[in-house]
Amino acid sequence: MILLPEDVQVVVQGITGRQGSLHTKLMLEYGTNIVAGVTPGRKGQKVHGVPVFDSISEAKEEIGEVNASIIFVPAPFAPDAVYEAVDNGIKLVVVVTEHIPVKDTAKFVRYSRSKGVTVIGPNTPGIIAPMRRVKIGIMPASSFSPGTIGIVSRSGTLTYEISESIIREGYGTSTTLGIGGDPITGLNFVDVLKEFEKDDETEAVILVGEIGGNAEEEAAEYIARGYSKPVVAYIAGRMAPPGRRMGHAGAIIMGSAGTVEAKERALEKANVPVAKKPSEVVRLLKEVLRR
Amino acid sequence: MRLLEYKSKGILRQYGIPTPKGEVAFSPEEAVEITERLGGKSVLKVQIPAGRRGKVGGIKLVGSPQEAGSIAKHLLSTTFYGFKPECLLVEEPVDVMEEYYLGAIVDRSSRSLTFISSSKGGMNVEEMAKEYPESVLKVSIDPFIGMQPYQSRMLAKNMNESTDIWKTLTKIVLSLWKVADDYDSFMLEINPLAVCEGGRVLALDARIEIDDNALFRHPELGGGEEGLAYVELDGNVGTMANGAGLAMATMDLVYLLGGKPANFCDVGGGASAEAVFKALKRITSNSRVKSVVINTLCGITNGIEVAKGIKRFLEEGCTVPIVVRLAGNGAEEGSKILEETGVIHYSEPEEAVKEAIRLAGA
Repeated sequence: MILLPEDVQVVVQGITGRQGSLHTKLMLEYGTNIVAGVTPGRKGQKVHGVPVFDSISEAKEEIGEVNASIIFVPAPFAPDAVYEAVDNGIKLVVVVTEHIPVKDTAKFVRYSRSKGVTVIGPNTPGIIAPMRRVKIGIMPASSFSPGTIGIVSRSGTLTYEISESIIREGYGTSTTLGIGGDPITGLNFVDVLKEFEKDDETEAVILVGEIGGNAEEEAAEYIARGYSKPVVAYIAGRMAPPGRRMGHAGAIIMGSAGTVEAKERALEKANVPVAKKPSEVVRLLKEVLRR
Repeated sequence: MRLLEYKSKGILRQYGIPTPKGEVAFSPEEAVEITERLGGKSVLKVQIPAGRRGKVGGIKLVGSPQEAGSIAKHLLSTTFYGFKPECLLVEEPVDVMEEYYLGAIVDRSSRSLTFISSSKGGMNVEEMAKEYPESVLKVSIDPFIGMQPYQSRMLAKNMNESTDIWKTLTKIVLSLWKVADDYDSFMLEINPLAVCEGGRVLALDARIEIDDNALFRHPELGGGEEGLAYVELDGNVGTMANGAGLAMATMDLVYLLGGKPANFCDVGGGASAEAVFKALKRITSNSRVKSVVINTLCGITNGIEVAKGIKRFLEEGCTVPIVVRLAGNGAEEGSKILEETGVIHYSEPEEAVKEAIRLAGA
């Protein structure tokens, strides 16, 4: 298990919204310890049995410490929610919210990192550790099973697809983490690879990338310098034309930079086998685990 | 949202960055009049949201107002990179002595806006970085304190060291930062930024891209596109999936299994039947589309909604064959609905893609 505290106590920011309420229910069903919710002006309500407060500091006064937050607050107000979490001493913040302006993200990510806070996202499905029955995110529980494979990804549904494909072959995941589909994210591939390296429960890593930026190339460089665990990869967006954004704000080829080919080359140079299609990932995984 | 050149230059001028004299022409007659006002000669530039226009004949130097008229007529009726120009920018011709590059882009590693300058302008930034890496200076800007004057001096001096030009360039660099900050832009370029005869420093081409997610702070720029993430390609197999990553993977699968994808389309997480219906309408409005593959792995999305959307679309008399991969949440109930419609459906994505390729006759 990576990045999660041993004894997770989660506050849900934006708990009374449609998404916040739905996923609070699903996270509780999975086994996540959600201790409080926050929506300004909704103090005293309960959402699926979870008490709602006007602020995190009020929640802390009533129920004691919280050590992780998940944010479902709409984009214009999401940065404020991050600052509130950080200023209340929370060290792990998962920002599910999509469509946050990059300028705002640049600020709250820099602020959080300067305070030693880990931000997952924005625009992330979150983090799930099946062995511990902890899910701080929106991924469907049925796509994940306990095991020894770490998955780090820039997308959501594609990650579920790949996780399901390895489950069918008898594997499972230690931790799965979506870094988020935006141009600026709290964690990059390298940050997460470092965590998996330290994690005794993780035997091998699947890296699911996509076009745009250079996070995959940086990961390749990092792995090439000596990484103790086998890594396999899949990169989406081979057919994407340059200059067009493919769904995710960060998925865009600029000129000749950020293409699948460039990322594949970099990863293969680092001895990371790259699957041509999602269904090939499990075959490559078997191969690297046999080595 | 990528602003057209003339809109980008309008913003630059408001921030004190000089551009060549010019006006926008929506008709050949206007191109003639503007060329007359500019002294009889002009440069006609098609206004499309794409670069490298010169390579495909989208930029023309004309020697007289009559010539401006006939060439404008041709340019306004031609398609460049799939775009029909809505207008032309008609500018004074200038004699360029030197060309530089000045731009900014979001850098993932430093998690901030990074400014780039180079003494070699006029080519695209990747070419420049490859051919003249030593000419490139990158400076990351702290999002809280913004660009500091010393940073603008460094970026400017990297373009030209001679004192008077350096000073002018420093002002331009700082102004461009203000544009980026005020307009929520994470992709800006002045390329080339040129020293012209007489020592004038001018932004000859400009590109400003506004963060779509920040458009709510800039109502004056008009709304962005609709919510659906759709990009057209030149193949004949339409594609749709829930989630951007899966949608890209689906488009790639069509190609890897021997077909040609007609589009990228992410219907989004938690899509309603209405959203699926609308996405199908959009995909099949492309006349090249001979079949459509829908690849859905439902988590937050409900398979029943997907199936209902498809059913509604088929009931409206669609003639393009549709192949569906439906798995995950609500797939069983969804499959029952699909069976009523007779549409082909699979639980494995590759089978669905292969069938769609076969139906497209590729």
